[in-house]
Amino acid sequence: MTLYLPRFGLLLLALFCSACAQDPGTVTVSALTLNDAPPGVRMRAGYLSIENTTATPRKLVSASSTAYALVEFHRTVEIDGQSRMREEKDVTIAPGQTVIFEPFGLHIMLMRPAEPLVADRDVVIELCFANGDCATASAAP
Amino acid sequence: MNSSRKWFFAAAAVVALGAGIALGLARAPQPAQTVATVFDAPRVLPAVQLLDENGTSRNTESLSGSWSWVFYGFVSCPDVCPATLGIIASAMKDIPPAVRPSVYLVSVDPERDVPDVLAPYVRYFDPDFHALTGSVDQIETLAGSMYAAFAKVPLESGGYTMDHFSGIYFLNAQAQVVAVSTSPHLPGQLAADYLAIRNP
Repeated sequence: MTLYLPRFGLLLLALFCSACAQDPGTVTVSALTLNDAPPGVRMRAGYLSIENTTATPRKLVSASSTAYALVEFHRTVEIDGQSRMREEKDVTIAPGQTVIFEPFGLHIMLMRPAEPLVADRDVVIELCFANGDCATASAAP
Repeated sequence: MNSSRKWFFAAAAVVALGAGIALGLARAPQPAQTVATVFDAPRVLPAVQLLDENGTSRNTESLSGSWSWVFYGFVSCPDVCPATLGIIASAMKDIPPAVRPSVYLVSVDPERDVPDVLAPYVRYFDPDFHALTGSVDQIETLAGSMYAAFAKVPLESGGYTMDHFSGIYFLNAQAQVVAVSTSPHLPGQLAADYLAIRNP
């Protein structure tokens, strides 16, 4: 019996370390909404939220869509009453943080539509993070 | 119009706006509960020849006859412009039809925003909305008179965007600028400000 105790202890330790090594949190991407705009407009803004409940920062590094040839992260800022929109190469979501893409702020810029948007076909975007994880979000066009 | 001139114009307009405020030109006694800035004296617009969304030639004098709201923006603006036009459309519902202003989107991107592009765009938000476009020089003249700076900014990925003043101007029935509401805009506040300024 005594021979088995160290082995059992090692097994417990291994199980404990395994649980420790796994980050129990998740990164959750909400549904996508597109700004209200007339049909035929060639640039749209996408809005959503990303919640990071993991213990590590997650860096959003790219976005793509079959409906648009170019998808970027842009932020609108007001400086001296002027509205300015600039690209952000990446967006970091800190542990426990929710980043919201919303009007007059950070948004997903959808440019160069691949084809006229079809009314009954959702716009799907893929968001990829620096660690290689990707998630999709979709919205009615 | 070369880019350096545009930047000069944009910088000059911002400086002029700041100077105007510093000199106390901008702020008059506010009607009760008004967030918008009311000018001491209504500002007369310069005579500028423009095109409306129907392709009809219009001068600034033709804005007279009813109160109007003027917002500077452009069709390829994905975020601020459609959101603001949506807010203005909502504000209209808080204003009795008999005193609703005419609403004009003045394009700061006249290279792309020709009447055929502007008409369906503004009418999407409200069938009664209007748009104005013209040459870059004409738009600069009008915008400069209202201290509404704008500038063309290249995008790294190609193409360009426009920086632009995001305020909403209130013009009286003589086409004089009487007030400006700056962002963030709220429909109810815009409507309340307009009604208070129109009938102080």
